Amino acid sequence: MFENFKIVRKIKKLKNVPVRNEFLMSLRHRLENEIRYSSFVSEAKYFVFSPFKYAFTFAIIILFVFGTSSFVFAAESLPGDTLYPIKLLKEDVQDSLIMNSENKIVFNERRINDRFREMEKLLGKGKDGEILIWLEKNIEKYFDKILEIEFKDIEKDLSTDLTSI
Amino acid sequence: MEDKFLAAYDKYSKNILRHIYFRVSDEKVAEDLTAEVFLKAWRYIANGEEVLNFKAFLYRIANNLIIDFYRTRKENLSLEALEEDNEIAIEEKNVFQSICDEDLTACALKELDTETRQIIMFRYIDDLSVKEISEVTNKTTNNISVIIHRGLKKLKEIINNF
Repeated sequence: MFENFKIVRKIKKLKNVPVRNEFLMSLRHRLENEIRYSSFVSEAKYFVFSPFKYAFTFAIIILFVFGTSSFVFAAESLPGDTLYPIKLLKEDVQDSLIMNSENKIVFNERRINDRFREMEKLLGKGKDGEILIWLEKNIEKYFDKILEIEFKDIEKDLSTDLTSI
Repeated sequence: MEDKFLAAYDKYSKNILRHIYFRVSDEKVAEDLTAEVFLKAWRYIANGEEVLNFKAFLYRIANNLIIDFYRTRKENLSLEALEEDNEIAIEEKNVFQSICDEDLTACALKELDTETRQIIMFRYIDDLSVKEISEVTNKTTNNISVIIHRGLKKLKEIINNF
């Protein structure tokens, strides 16, 4: 058994055969994009499977036909409405354009409040079920985003402190 | 779900890449297949499918992709014929041949038959349990244990004869 142990130890040393870390990092980025794309598609699917089956496609057509003025029409829309995807799309575009982390946090806090307001309006109309679960999921997503930004800021501050020592 | 998947990626990606490299002996091919493993895995769980043992799941996908890789290279041969042809055996031995000069154990592993070498690698390089290897290879746990025991005995004999 002792000899077996020695052989096994030698076999395990083959774990030290190196692999390309740059490849693993770039694959990770690719997977993150794939995950983001999957989330986008599954959210879009919600609108496809709802009673407003073609709402998402119709909303994109409206956007191209009426341009940015469609954003104005979409502002008061609720989940399940034809123009709601345009409202979300506008928010996503705005979020991606904000570089400053404080402003990004404020913007996502506003998104959370908007989602809560939409929830209240839907509850007031007697709607519940899947739509509300979907809204809660999105609220969680914005909270996570805020935490991520705050965490990155803390890391940045820590590394600045260390380099200034 | 996404965070768990990325955490699993961080934990297993290096091992999967190394495992595939040992079996296909080509860095570029190994990297392509590794990417395929994780993309397939993500698409599977994104469809709402449940995975009980993620590690074994990844190795199973890798195993199947490696078999498909060799099958594509010799399209008209059946898998049994591929193994009889020693195509897989030759390719797998190449990596061990390249590190043989530095490592006696690699030389000895090269001399094992394909199946025994793969299972020894699963067990001691990839750290899969006997149960996990059984899930990946569709063999019984008893069968796996016997193969490992015989494989180690054979390695001892080979090393003693060097």
